[in-house]
Amino acid sequence: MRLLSTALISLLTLCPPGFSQEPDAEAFFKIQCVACHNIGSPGILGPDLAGVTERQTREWLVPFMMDPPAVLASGDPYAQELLAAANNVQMIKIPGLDAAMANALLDYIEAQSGADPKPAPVVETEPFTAEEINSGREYFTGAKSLENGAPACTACHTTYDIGSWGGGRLGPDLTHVSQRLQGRAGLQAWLTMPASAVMTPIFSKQRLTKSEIRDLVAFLESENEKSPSEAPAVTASFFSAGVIVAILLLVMFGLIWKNRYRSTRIPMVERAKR
Amino acid sequence: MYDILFFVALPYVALVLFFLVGITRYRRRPFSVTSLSSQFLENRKHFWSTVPFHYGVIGVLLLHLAGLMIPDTMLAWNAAPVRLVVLEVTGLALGLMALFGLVNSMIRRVQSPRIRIITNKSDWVLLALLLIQIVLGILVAIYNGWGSSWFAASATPWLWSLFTLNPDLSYVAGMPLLVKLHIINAFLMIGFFPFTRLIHVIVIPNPYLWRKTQVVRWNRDRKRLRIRD
Repeated sequence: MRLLSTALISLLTLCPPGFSQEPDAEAFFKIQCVACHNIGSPGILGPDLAGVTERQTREWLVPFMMDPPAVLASGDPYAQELLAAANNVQMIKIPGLDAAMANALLDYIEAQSGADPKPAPVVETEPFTAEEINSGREYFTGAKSLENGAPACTACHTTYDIGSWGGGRLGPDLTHVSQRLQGRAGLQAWLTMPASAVMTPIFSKQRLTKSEIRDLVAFLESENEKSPSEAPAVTASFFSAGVIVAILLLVMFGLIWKNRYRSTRIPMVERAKR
Repeated sequence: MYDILFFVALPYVALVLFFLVGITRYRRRPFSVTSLSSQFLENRKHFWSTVPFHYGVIGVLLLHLAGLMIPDTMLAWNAAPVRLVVLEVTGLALGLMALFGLVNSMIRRVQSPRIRIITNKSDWVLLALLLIQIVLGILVAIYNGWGSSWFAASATPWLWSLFTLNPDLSYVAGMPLLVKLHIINAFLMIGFFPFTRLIHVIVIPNPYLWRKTQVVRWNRDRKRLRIRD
């Protein structure tokens, strides 16, 4: 018992590495922020962050960075102004962005603000080709694997075209995602660094390449245009299929061991009762 | 904060208990390391409890183990929709079969006086944990479907981060509630494992998985003792 308690105490006092480190703002910025923002030129969706601490106080910026939808919902006039300037594309809540990280990011942005301006990112406006759309579909279903080893979209998502039997149900249906993210720029930004709590840890290590992003944007844009509604729910038919297979397995067990009592045990029990 | 408690502290506490208590029990009370079979006390309901439960649970556990050990192979298998659906329906069917067996075994323990008498509190806690785990697993399969793919992408890196003593809970922190409950209950079972008859799982080799069935019978005059089924 003493051994057990010693082991438990030493385990609980052992601080797992990674919980008390200084926030690494540069790495965080390059993973989480660059999909939408730049320092020194406008980003794909968001404003140029150079000099942001001169335009607003940290008391306002930190809570906004931590939870933009909450500040927007509170009716804050400056937040509304930012929303209008960004063509009504709302900044999402970024996983892992706490007060310490927000301050570290503002320090990093301040330090970078004087540096040489970077070229603004380009969003293509040409219509996509059928090959690009088809290639995007293959990346989506996993028929073609993603270069850096990330799982295919169908692990968690579906679209009307893929159908509910083809796509997963951990994440949302993506039929109309292009509309939700306000078109090509939003899709491209999201795929550059998907900012959901489940996707970030995977896609920050196994990034999508530029051509994969272009093809996936092509596929998702075409889905939004041609598919009338989201994929119908599959839960009932999937459950029924499971029940049917389970019953078949039970029948099989019953047949395999159908002589289990009859040959020896039942006669023996009957004899003993007499 | 709760995420650190449930997805870092709890797994480590559970694993320490699993090994420490498991080994201690094996050394101090070796004859208690058994499934404590009740087959010869009641044998009719026993078949429809133990057979579906064990085949179902072993199948489901093997699928989880495959996700942990060969995640890339699982993802490659799932790249064709037909293969994915076959795997998922099989997993769900095995889960349902395990549930059928477990519910039968609970009914058997309540209904048969002979079995009730040899059932202790840890058996009931274990049965409850198993029931919760299987029901949660089935609900996850239905409502957060295609886990054979996303387990390999999210749960596997998290589990390996635990095993390599460099826990990274970001992979599971954003999971839906059903999935989180399924994980928490799994580690509760691992921690509780060595205190229960689950201990029979680790008695390797396990030849009873493939050896011929063994008929246990009374070596006394049942008529004289007035023992009736």
